[in-house]
Amino acid sequence: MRGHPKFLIWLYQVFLRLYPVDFRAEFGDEMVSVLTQAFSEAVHRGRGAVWTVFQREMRDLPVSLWGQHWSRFRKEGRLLQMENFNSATGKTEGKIASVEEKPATWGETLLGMGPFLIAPAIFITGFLVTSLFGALKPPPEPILTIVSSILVLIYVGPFLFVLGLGWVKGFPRWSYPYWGIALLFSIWLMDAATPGLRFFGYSFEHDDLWGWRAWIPVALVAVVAFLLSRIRPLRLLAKRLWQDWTRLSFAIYGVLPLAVLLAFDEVHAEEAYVVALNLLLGLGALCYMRSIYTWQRILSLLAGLLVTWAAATVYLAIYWNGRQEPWMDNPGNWVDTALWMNKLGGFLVLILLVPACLGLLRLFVNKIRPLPSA
Amino acid sequence: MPNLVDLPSNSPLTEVTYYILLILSPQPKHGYAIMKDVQALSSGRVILSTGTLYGAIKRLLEQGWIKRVDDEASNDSGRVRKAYALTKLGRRALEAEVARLYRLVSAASSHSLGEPAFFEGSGE
Repeated sequence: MRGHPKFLIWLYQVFLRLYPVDFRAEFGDEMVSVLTQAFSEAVHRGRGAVWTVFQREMRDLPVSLWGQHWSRFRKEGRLLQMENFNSATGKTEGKIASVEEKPATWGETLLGMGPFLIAPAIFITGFLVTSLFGALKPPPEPILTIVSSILVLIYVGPFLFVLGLGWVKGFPRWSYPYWGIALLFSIWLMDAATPGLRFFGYSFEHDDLWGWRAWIPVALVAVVAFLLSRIRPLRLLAKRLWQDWTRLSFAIYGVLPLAVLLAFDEVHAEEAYVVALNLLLGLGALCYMRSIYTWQRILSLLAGLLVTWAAATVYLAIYWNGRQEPWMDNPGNWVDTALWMNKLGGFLVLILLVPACLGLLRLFVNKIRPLPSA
Repeated sequence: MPNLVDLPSNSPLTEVTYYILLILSPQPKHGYAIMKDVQALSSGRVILSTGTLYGAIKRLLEQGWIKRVDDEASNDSGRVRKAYALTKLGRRALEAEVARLYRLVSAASSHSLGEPAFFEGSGE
């Protein structure tokens, strides 16, 4: 073998591209130079020696790559934390403490409240349409289909747009409840049938479950958003979740309007109450968006959930007490209803707090971080 | 015996860090020389890959324990190679580590290590 093995050096340069850009820019040339010297020396000892050098590089590569990417991830997280602290307090230096981000603007706050205003908007629209046109003769079938499809688009279209916008913008705080409700709704819709639903000519037959079709809207949004913004928003998502676990709790909080709707299933004339409960949830979201500290944020979400759920429990206990529908074996009673709602509420509280494990993991990692020695 | 510089929060060093600091203590060296010297100093037990070497160098630069200097003497292809030198902070860290190791070895040498059977776990 003459000279240094050019193919192995070329291969090494290919693997070097897996390192973070800044690390590669700072040390890439030197690393290639060092390996070239190592190969040059090994060549005199034979093919086996060259192979040993290359094998050692490849063996250490995964750990080394992981170390550099992890280091960069942590560094950027700390920088983001410091920037947020500075912008929140107006200081240029100081202890970070538990301050993590400046309060959201009112525009961002309103966006964050969006998922909790959907049900009120739908119910209010329905009420207005019924009041204005209820007495009129229904239009012929094709027009009815087009009108109902447009009405669906009026709500679903902006929702999907905002969902994608959140992705493209790098998952800012307001975007989490949208993703929470979109994912849970898609899961729920998979097992749902909507017989008679017509959507621009496409109709669902009786007992025709949505199945995989339930994921089409979210998947389309994800694909378009990914094509527009590539990998950066996903990296920001990971960093921001690592920095503030309450974002994940906020995503879970976003599914509560659906939980309220399900709790009020089979309840007659529930519209006004569901609107009120959604507005209570929206109030919790408002407090969350305007908070600075982690404890304020999780308290906002917990208070929003507990107050809403307590109000729902009281209403449902009164509603079902002594009532018997055709599908019920026995009349309902308030104790059973309250117990069932309490169990479900407790479960929701636990789920809302699960992301705190991420915060504990972060504390643990910070504690064991081997900063002093390399 | 070196000066006992107390840097408790920075001890103990990893083996790789310790060897790199030790190798740079007499004079600045470039990457390949560090790699070779670590291997020699550890009697072939520690053989660094480029990834491990430059990962450690990056951290030491960030900590301010070493600094980059131009290696004029090794200008072999018209390019000035980068060498690395120990800073005052790095020297203090190294001295603290050596002192720590010295204390550990002193403690061991002034103490009976016990019977071989103890280490073989023959007790029932």
